[in-house]
Amino acid sequence: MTLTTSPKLGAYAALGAAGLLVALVWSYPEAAVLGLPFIVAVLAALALVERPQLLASIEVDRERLLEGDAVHLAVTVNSTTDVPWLQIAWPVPQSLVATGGGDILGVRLVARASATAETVLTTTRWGVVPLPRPLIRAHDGLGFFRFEGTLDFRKTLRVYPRPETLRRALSAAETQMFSGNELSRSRGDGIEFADVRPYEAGDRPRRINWRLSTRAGRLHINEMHPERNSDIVIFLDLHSDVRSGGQGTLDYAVRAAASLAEHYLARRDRVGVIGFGGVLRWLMPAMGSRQIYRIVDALIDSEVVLSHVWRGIEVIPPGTLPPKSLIVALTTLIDERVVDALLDLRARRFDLAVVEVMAEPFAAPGSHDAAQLAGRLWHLDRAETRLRYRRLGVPIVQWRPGEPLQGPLAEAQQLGRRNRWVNA
Amino acid sequence: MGQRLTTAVLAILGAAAFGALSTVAATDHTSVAGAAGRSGWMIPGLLSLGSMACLILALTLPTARPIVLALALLGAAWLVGLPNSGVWRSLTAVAGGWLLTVAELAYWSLDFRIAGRDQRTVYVRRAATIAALVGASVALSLVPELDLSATPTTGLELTAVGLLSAATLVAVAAALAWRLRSTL
Repeated sequence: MTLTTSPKLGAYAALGAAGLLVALVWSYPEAAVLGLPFIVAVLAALALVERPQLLASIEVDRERLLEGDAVHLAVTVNSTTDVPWLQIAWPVPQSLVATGGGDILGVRLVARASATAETVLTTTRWGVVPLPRPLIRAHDGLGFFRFEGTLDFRKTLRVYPRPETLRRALSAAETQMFSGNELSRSRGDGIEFADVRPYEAGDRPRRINWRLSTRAGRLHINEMHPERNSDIVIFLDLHSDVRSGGQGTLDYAVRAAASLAEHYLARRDRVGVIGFGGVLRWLMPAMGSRQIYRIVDALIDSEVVLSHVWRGIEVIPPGTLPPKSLIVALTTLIDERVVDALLDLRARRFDLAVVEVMAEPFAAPGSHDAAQLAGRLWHLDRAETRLRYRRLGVPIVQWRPGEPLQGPLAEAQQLGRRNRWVNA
Repeated sequence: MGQRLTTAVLAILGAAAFGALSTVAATDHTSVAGAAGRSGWMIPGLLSLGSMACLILALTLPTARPIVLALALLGAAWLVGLPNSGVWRSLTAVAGGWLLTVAELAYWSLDFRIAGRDQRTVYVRRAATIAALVGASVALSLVPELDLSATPTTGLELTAVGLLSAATLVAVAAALAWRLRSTL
């Protein structure tokens, strides 16, 4: 603990010295008498001060939680010496809000007693948040000295994005081999009727359509669509994050990514993640409940790393983008590298859907004419970028942060179907 | 906030009363201020007003620096307003204790800038400590006061005693500071 002195110490010493000096110079003993109490106070403070012997322990009720949840922190300080005035405070880090306790505790701590300071912090944003280290300040009895320090406490809070419940998300154009919840366009074993065709040797008798066979005079069998899973790759734009008022596009993009991952994994799809930014981050597609934890753990570490290196999709490991996978891109369409990378993916015949996280709510143009003009030009440029995607048959939808994701996804699904139909 | 306001108001009221007493004492023509004529009482009055201004500034900003100036001005007001003889002179030890009380209240008010909770025991302890400190310092101050009234010393003797006392004080302070450095 660091020892600091109160300004009182210097002031009292100066007043006492001034009294003595005046008494000596002007032969005025009353000046010394007037200054004597201050000298007595300084001497008493110097004689009585002792370093407090404190032992502290910290309790955290949980270290993993969802956005909006609260974490309860408590620090208990024991002392082997008498501390006339002990102050314990919990600083509140960014992205957390104190919703309970939190006041500075100030107590007189007698020897072998303990004092506990509690606080309740509520999370406002996903991420890895270092837990605050409590500040401790012990004053001496006369208020001349104070011992200050922070407890050596290095724990982090993992705040996961709160996923939005999605009734339906985008469907992949083509399905994979494993069974799942997605209706395949191919024919095979399933429960969804697809078509009828004439009987061929080897067909199973239980699939014969008896009504049609009776009418046509020859055997026909029912064909079914099998239920298969699909590969989904969530492409997260980590090149840009437009922020305003403590919120930004990346906050919403990560929440949307977590919602999509949870939705697809619940449908037995394989889900992978690519964080395309200054530092490339990826997670190979996999299925199962463990994958959702891997994904959200990877997502909450997402951050924009400034880089001027021009990199395309060639830096993405090949296994991260399986054939026939659906790529759902969550991007602001601000960084040209991301725009080009997505166009490149489309050129390589990947099934691509773009959800544009609208940056406009976070970037209101200024009031003067030049700013208004710049804003209009920026909007035109973004509209032209969207048009480039539409020309290539990529379903691109705008998502205004704060609004439900379900609407833009349904719109993208409709656009995707229409594009596939037009392309066919 | 309540504690901070209470101690600040008490400090200001204490300083005002101290200044008023100094001004009243200066109406005696034997005081240093009285040498300036009939309006000599205005000198400690003005010093007290300046002190009040410094104290109010320190407690409202809040900053500790003007407090020492306020205390120095109050001390000066007392010294210039002190009559050459009589009951006022014997009250100097009490005045020193009073000045210390004003200083403690002012610094206490600044210490409570950061609001806390569960501090009742702290207030009681601090008040008791201040009372003990003021009592002890006044008692110690009365010793030279009694001694001076019994045997008034000459200039040279006073200087010698004063220098010796100052050297002793410096030695004690240095010893305590050394102890502080070694133990902390």
